[in-house]
Amino acid sequence: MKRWFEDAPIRWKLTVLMASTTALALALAAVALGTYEGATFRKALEQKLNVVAEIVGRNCKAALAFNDRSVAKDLLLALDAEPSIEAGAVFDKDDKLFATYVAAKTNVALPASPGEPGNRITGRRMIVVRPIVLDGETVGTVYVQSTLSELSSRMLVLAESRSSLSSAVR
Amino acid sequence: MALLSVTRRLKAAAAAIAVAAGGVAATAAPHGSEAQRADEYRVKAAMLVNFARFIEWPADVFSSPIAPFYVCVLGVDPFGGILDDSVKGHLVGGRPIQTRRIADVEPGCHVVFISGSERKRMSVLADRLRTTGALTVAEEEEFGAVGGMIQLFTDGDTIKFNIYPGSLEQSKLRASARLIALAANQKHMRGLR
Repeated sequence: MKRWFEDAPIRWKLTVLMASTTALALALAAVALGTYEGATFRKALEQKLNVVAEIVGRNCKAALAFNDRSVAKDLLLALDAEPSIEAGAVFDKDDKLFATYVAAKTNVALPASPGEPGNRITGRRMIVVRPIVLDGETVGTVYVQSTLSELSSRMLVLAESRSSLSSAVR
Repeated sequence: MALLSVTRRLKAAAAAIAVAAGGVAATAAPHGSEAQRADEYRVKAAMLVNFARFIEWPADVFSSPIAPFYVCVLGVDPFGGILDDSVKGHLVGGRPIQTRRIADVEPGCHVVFISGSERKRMSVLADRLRTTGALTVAEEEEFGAVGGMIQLFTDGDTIKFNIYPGSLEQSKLRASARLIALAANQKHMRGLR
């Protein structure tokens, strides 16, 4: 290989050099784009889930204060509008399940307690947990769980376009 | 056995309310032993606080942003010390809650629970209290018809409430849509239950 390269005419050497530099630059750009895309997507999803959790939490305050599970369940049905959300729940102040929502055609098990408040990614899921506060007292917790499958499908599209680009270069 | 389970549930409800007025377990038996009656009024006391948290008073009702919020009982007090225990350490709109026992309409009360002892003059009291800007709560069945704002009642082992937004508006009080949605008489209208 090395020998072949040394014996090759200068025109070939230049072509090979240029092609490999371009390929490397393209590969680096693709990696950077993928990373950026992933980070942007996660950030946007996180913001969206935070807003949804805040709205559900605010709306559920009265239902929690007056112990009305059916109204809380009705309010959780609003999560249906966001396709990436696969499950949601409201826990009472003792961290016991108060009302739940599981998206149709999904088979998700909700946890018995909400866990620490905050946002977290576990496996292929993003989970948002927020306390519900009424006049300075925590009256419950809202839990929203979303799938990251949209991110996977975006990455797939990116990978496909990357491979078609590299074959075009070749 | 059924009685035992009701008693157990009542105890659980009472324990829940003892911790915080927010997050009331609105479960209690209508009649029965003294302990059950105490649990019933513990739930009702917590409900009085929670009503206040979902109702807006005009700003000029309070002398300062940290002026206390007064919950008054008019007539023979069915709560006893329960009301004072239930409001202790809790806030309404950031204000500390204080309780008062009154024999007649007095200014300065934000929530007035009209005791059953005043049954005969319920209509007069509801009218006079509307002019003071107080939220009126009672257990009488006809309370809404005579101009009352919130009526508490027992359904099975649960304490429910009816709300009359028309009377609230007359006193310039605004109930949150979230509170109205939980009222038994409004639920029937929405066809939820």
